[in-house]
Amino acid sequence: MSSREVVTLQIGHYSNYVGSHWWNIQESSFIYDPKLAPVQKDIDHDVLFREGKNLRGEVTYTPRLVAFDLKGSLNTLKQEGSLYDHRHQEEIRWTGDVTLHQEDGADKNPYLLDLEKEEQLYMKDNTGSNNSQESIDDVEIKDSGSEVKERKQKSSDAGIRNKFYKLDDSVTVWSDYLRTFLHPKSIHVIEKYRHKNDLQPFDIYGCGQEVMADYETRIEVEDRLHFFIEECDHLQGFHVLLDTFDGFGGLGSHVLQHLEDEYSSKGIFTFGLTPNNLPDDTPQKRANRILNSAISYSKCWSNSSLFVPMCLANSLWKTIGPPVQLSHLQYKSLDYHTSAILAATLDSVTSPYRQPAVLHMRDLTDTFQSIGRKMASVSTSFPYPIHEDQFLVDSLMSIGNDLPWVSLTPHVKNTVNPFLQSTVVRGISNNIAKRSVQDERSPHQFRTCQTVDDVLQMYLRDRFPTTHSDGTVLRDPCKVVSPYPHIFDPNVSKNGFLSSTKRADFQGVESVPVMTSLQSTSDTVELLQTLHTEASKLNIHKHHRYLAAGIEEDDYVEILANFETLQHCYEEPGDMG
Amino acid sequence: MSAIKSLNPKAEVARAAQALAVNISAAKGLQDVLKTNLGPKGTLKMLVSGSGDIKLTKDGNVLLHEMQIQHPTASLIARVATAQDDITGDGTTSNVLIIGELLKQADLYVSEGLHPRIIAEGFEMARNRALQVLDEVKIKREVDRDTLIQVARTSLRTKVYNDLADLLTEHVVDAVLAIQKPKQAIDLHMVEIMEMQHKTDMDTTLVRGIVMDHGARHPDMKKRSEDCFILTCNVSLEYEKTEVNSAFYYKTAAEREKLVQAEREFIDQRVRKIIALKKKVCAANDSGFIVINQKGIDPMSLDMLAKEGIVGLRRAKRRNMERLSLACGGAAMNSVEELTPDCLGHAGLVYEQVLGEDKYTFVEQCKNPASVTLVLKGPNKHTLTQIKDAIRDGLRAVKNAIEDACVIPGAGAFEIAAYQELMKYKNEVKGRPRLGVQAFADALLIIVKVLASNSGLDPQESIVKLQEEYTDPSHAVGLDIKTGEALIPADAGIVDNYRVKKQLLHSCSVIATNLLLVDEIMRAGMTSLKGS
Ligand SMILES: Nc1ncnc2c1ncn2[C@@H]1O[C@H](COP(=O)(O)OP(=O)(O)O)[C@@H](O)[C@H]1O
Ligand SMILES: [Mg+2]
Repeated sequence: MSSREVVTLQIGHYSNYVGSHWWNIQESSFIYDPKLAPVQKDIDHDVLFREGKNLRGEVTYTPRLVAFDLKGSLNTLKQEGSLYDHRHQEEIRWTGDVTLHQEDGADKNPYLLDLEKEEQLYMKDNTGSNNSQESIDDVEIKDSGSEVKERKQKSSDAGIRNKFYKLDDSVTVWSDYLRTFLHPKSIHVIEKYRHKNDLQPFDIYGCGQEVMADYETRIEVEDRLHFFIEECDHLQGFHVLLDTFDGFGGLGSHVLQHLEDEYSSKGIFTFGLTPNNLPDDTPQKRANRILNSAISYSKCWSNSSLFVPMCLANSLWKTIGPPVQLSHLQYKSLDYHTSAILAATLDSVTSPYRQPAVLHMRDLTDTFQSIGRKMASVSTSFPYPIHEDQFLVDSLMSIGNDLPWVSLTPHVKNTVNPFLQSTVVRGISNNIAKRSVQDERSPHQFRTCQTVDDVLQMYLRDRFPTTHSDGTVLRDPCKVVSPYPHIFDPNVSKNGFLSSTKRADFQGVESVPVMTSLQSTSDTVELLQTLHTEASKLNIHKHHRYLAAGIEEDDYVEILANFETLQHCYEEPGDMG
Repeated sequence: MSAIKSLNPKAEVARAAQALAVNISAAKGLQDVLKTNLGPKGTLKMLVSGSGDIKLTKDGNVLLHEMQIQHPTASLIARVATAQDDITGDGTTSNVLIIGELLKQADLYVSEGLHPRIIAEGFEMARNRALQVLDEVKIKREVDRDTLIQVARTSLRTKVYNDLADLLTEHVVDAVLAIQKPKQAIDLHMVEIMEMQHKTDMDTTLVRGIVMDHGARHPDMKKRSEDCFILTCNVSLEYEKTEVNSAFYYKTAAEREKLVQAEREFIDQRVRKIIALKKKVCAANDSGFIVINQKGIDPMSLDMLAKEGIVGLRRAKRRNMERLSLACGGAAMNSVEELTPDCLGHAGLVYEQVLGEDKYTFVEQCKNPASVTLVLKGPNKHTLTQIKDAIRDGLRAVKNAIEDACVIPGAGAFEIAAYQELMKYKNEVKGRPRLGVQAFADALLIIVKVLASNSGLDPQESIVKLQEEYTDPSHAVGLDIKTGEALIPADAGIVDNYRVKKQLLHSCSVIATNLLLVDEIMRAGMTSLKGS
């Protein structure tokens, strides 16, 4: 069966942080040797990746991705990447003088240097046979019979994957750790605004709208999306990662509207992301964050099939709350760290419709959005705490009436059972699902269970009797090899299980079991209410830049009213049966 | 008042004296960067970013966007200059040069004690006179295709090398003429620009018709069809999940399969309706039949179409749907229920080109050729971008000329004429504002000076020559950058847009005056401080 594609959009710098980790995680799980590939695919990578061919005839494998960021945010990454670079001889024809203005190259960190070395080795291996200088002169003869060279992402690279890097201080932008090659049409740079420019900051919703008001920009964005969408035979929908706290909210709202208009039958699964370490040092900056979030959220749930806000701070709005506590993790409030946790969570949450199975993205989003509940929350257990010699059932029993996970949706505290949830467990093999049937210590309700799937379904029914739960089990754990940050407790083993012996200092964790739950819950009201309250306190009149950028007072009143309407959807008792 | 008193008077003096100097140095900084760009012999700049991204440009506007301008005055000037480009599509470099020069000239007088407000007054008088001269130098000739060719060529030759400029010139003019509708504003968005990465930039062509950057998605569909019926529609031809309730409840494959079957049959029926129409209209001929659908077409539907010799394109862009029905006739259908032969459009030729993983579909020989596409070819992205920018400027120049219904002589002819006429006018002006008129006139000469020095000529000598040759505005003379002699720009085919110069005169004087008066405000503060 051919794959059911999903096209990803990353809109904003933090979203690109998250996205970069996510592509890395996926790429780490690629198996290049067909002999090693298991019969049954766990995740179908063709859903999020595409196979292509560059002008040298080499096969490429790149994300179905359009990523937006500001000028100057790419650091060492070329906007068009290097996969499709055909090393054409530069010949400049001009009657007058030609001058060269070379900006100093940013220094590559040790990780990127190693990647570059690997790349050069690859190039050396592949030049001799094929005359790459000929470049693109003869590509018009299609299927010319010339042998097709494989240029999958990176070949066997166990060396780099398992090398121990300390990148916390050297990562300044997302491309500092992105290992996946991107397609040349993937990165859209907003030329009008510069990354980290205080003179002309991209800090309010209206900035993003203004960018999209330009005809040429709109056409370019639509064309990029079209390139990735038109080729899909069975498009399921879109993943939209969106920075909701700054100008990207306005840009993203416009893009969401476009998707909704042009691809109305497809799923649009949107994640509204906020870093937990914003400078936030003036009342104006805090007001901007609240206003941008309020407007963006309301546009997001209107124009998405399902919308999930995520952040590694417990609470937002008036001030940014303390970091979310995750047991067995010691992360810092660095974008490089927090985005890694979000990425690992997203990789699990989205897995049910990325498997070669029957579930469709819209099956999921439609179920959730019944009776208008288009906002959902996400909880994660990362790593899922299970000891080296423990059975899944026992680890679940030891959690007892507590929850196995922690919410990554700010203000959603998981105080009640959700209406609905889609739970995913990954990286726990069936042979540690439970003790043998004979074993007296097995709790009685799990006696008939055979597999991890059985255990999960039973657990969900037992622990969340009023919730309509769906459970998905993935065989493979989440891969967290380099350049994933080192955020795990020393008692987490190389394989992600809790251990009584400490991991060696220069030993990273390679993979971990994960459990996530995507939920529709009345706890969402808290999030809506707090944002609504703070947003209502702000007098939009006093924020003239919003008015100047075209947000009218009536619009704002309507947006606030939308919050109340959505709140009601969660207050009423669910009729999900 | 008390606030000012509390300031240290000495510091205040220092600041006031600095204000103009700071503004001038900011303006001069910009001037220095952009000076070498001006005119067809200006320097082409190759900007390479830290990661190796390349930009090739000669355009003041592009450079201003590339520079990380930190100084507020410089950033103000840059904004005015890019506004000039937004409004008229041209003249950014000239704008920056003249603003810088106005401030420099003003400074000469201010440092001798002349009040900035008086200079500002002189600027305004000079500007008004210069606008009159601009009307007097207009070339008295109908704006016909030849004139448009000249204006396009003049513009393009300041952006790309001559051979390419000359190739693009006709395409640009013909593109605008093709989309122009009587008594309506020209909408340049109707000229679609398509980039194709391909060996040489000399392959750029103007296609009278539509080019789409995607192709048929079935190997058996024809790559070339002649005498084609075109069906444009916005109808889903792919299996879609339509039922709203979820698979949470029926995750069994069998249950699911039943629903899929039902939906599939529904889609197949639609495809069969299209096939029926094709059979009807193509019964007695070998005409091609092309379906261009705004929605998706899945592999099963493509297969059905291909078996009947129909070429199907999916996910056509909305803007192309509109252009297609304009060009080919027929009606865009939102349903296949009432398909009749009248719904169909027509094109003489439809064919596909493949470049690596990119496919292009050309729809040509249409009934109504008002829709055009410029297909740019270039060996790499930065060359394509450079050509695209040049073409945009060229298109704007042609549109401006048509809408202005006139052009003016280039090669510095207007600036020399304005200078000469302002010198006469100066004598009529009473009192010290005439010094402002003088400053304004001198500032305009910067254009001629820079054109000369960028061409390896002596600026002073060039100016003197032109002044000697000058008689009156209707015989304005410009600089022959090859010889350094005077020439008649209209005869040499060097013509510029009227509205570009007009906007230039306005914005330069406004911004220069503002920068001067910022200074004046500070001086006023200082005076009152002294008085107390
Ligand atoms: N062949 C030519 N000979 C002399 N001057 C020319 C010629 N072509 C253009 N120019 C002059 O060059 C100037 C425009 O240069 P350009 O680089 O486009 O700068 P701008 O950004 O100010 O438009 C105009 O003053 C125009 O008259
Ligand atoms: Mg110009």
